[in-house]
Amino acid sequence: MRRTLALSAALLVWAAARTAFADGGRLRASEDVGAFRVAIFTAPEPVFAGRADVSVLVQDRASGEAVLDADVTLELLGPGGAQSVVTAGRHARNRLFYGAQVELAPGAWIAAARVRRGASEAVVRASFEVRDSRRAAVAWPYLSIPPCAVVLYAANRGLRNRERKRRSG
Amino acid sequence: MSSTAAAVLASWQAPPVLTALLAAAALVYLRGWRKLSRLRSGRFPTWRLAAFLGGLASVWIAAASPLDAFSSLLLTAHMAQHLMLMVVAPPLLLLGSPYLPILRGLPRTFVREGLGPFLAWPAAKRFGRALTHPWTGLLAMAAAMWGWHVPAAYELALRSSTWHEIEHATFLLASTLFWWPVVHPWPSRPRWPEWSVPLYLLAGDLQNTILAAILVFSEKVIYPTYASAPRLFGLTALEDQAFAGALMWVPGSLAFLVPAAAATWRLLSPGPPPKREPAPAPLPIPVRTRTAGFDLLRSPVVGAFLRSRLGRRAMQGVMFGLAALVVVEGFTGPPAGAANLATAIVWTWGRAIAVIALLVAGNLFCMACPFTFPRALGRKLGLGQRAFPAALRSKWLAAGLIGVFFWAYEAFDLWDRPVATAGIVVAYFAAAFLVDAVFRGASFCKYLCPIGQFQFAGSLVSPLEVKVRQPEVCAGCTTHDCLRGNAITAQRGCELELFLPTKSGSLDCTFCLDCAKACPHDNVGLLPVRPAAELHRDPPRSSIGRFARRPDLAAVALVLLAGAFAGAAAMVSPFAASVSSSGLRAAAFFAAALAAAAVLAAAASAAGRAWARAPASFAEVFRRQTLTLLPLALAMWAAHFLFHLATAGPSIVPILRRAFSGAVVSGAGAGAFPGPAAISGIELLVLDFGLLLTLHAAWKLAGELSRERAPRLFAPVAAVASVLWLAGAWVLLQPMAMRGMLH
Repeated sequence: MRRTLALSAALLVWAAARTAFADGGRLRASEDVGAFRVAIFTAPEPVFAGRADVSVLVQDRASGEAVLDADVTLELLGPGGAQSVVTAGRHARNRLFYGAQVELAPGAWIAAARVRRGASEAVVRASFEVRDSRRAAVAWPYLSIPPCAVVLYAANRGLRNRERKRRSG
Repeated sequence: MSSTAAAVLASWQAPPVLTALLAAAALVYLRGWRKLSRLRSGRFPTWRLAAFLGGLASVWIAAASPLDAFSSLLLTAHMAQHLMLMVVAPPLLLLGSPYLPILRGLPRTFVREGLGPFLAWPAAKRFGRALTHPWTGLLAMAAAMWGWHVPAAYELALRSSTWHEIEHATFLLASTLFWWPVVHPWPSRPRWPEWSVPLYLLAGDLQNTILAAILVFSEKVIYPTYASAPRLFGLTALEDQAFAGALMWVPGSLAFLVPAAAATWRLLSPGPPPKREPAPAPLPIPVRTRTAGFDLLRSPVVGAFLRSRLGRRAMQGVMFGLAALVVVEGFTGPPAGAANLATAIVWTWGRAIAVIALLVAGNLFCMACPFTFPRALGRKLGLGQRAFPAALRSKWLAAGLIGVFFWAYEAFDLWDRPVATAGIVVAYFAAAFLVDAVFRGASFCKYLCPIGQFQFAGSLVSPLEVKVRQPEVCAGCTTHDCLRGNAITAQRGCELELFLPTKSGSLDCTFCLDCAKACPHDNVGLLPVRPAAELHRDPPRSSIGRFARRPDLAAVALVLLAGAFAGAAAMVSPFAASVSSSGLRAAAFFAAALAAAAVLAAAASAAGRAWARAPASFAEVFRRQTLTLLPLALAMWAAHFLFHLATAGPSIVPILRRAFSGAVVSGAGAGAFPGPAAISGIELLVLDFGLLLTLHAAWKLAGELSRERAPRLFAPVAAVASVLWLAGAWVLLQPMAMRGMLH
């Protein structure tokens, strides 16, 4: 029994690890333009309609050092002529990146990252597809909780009844 | 330090769910460890606590540190992250011997009644033994290590965050199984002789070394993602790969070889042979002294505040100030609801806070309700001497008023009408004064107030209740000050006619605490209760009677249930356009929802009663089963209001700025609130919680009404609750129209 107890402890930690999430996103474009090397990433993967993360890594083309003092704007062109321009600030997670959270509709999108530092300027474009809503994908872990809880409760009652009968009989 | 290095080192972000889970695990372990270390200080020294907390910290660092932020750019960072999860965290966690501390740290009832049957299940024991066998550990480690390093699997994990999570979980679980026979955490016993441990560890290291060598000596980049990723720190992709391999080879191997050497050294050392661990003796049962349970009124700060004579008055004063602000701003502020403080306070913030308070504490809205001030004024003027008409002493009128309120909200677009919102507040004060100026007691609260009825019904699901602390003290009481008032201190008793010794549940309780202040024995507390437990009990309740004889209470429950689902559905595209701004259509919509709820509940009760051949009458089954649907209704309301709070709540910042400094309202405030994606998960969790409480209450009730055939009585109402839950989830997952709210 004690091994089972220990197993429970291990499972608790495993459950905790289950919620760890990765970062970075998918590389959509990486180009050397002017004085810069610019890479555009999107997250999550695949990109679903709703809020998404578009991030940009700017490096010095010659040295490969990350450029952290540039002005970066993201111009997004979406389906049906949808357009938005956002200033990309320092990314909350990866401080080498510039990033912005944007609302995206389903369809084909083009993200243009415009990088300026002093007199140098570079524009890099990336295209990506935004899939239709992932509501079902988002919802299923939450919707599975009550059935699992009911099954566990039923199993608990069944085991308790069996134990009671065993003791009395 | 270069700016690049500084930026890399600053790339930390705590994943909220994982952080909360790890913190909870640490607290549970700490609680159990403290108890055990008092009983077995030699078995649970401080280093075990440090090891377990270190293991949890390793998991957190792997997920929150720059290792994770750069894992898709640098294989070296990703490898370091995996090493944390495979060779650092698992042995540390196991060295903490976590099973007993965790069991001791969890609530005793949960361990005994919830986990106990599973832990005593022979099949689970056999499974546990098989899982912790050395062969299982070795195979699990090999499978995880080789399986995830296959390029297709590795790439899958790099592409998809879900697969990345699964990869990490697999590594942690497989490594925990691998390290089990090495650490064999107490009280587990070794399955293989001790001389096998070095060989076991060498077998683990062999796999690690082969894989590391492949990475180091490969002449091509094995994982294409890293070949195309931007290069950092001047490392080529191949150099990065070799570096990752070296990391795996040297520190990774040391993690296997150092314990293997230590085990060998111990085997070869002269001296007495290693003692076989004695079978663990049962732990002594601690002597439990009877202590009073938690009582919020006895807590140091909050309790003292609530018990003070001015405590409630202060809360009411704040609410009165807010009501005054709503009135002034509603009548004089901008006409658009999105920019007006009145609508933001009432419809965005007020409703959500009141419902959250119900779920986490109790009826705090009524406790702080400012509408009782007119009653106090009436008392001072010597008004309010008549008894409320006997024919109206029920909740029928209140049920109708709640329905009218829900209808008016949709029909007149109250969320977007600051003037109407302010008007409602004024009308509320006027109605409270008029009713209480004529009738004695808290007639307005008890029989008329729609907000009060919502709160009363909702507080049946709350975890706190105003209760007698020790019933035996009340048995000897002859003055009944809690009801009649205390003549010595001039403290009035319960104006809602609740006699504490026979009060059960929070129905009709405004949390005013007059009873607590009037009791000469100081025997009234604000005590924790099982949420929704009152819904399956039916003792004769003071001033309420039995639920089975109160069809008006079932009507209130049905109105709240129908309103919860119809109100949320009215915000999604199939219904929004047809309901909003049309009194007739809104009335038809709510009437249809109410009829549907009533028919479903009645059909479930009739079917269940017939199938179970329950001896109770249909009326009793229907009335009591309908009440068990209240948790689901409250959860739906809570989910709905949380959505508004999360999406429109931050707009209070620019609105306040406009209200007090005249700045133009141009957008939402700081985005400190969870976004729509996160709030969807929270909404669904709340709805799940409501369904489970409803099912539990309905199951318990079925057992009470039909002991032999409880499942048959339960099944139809459970089906109805499940259908409503699915419908609610569907509604919550639709894009909601944020009508009249800035977001």
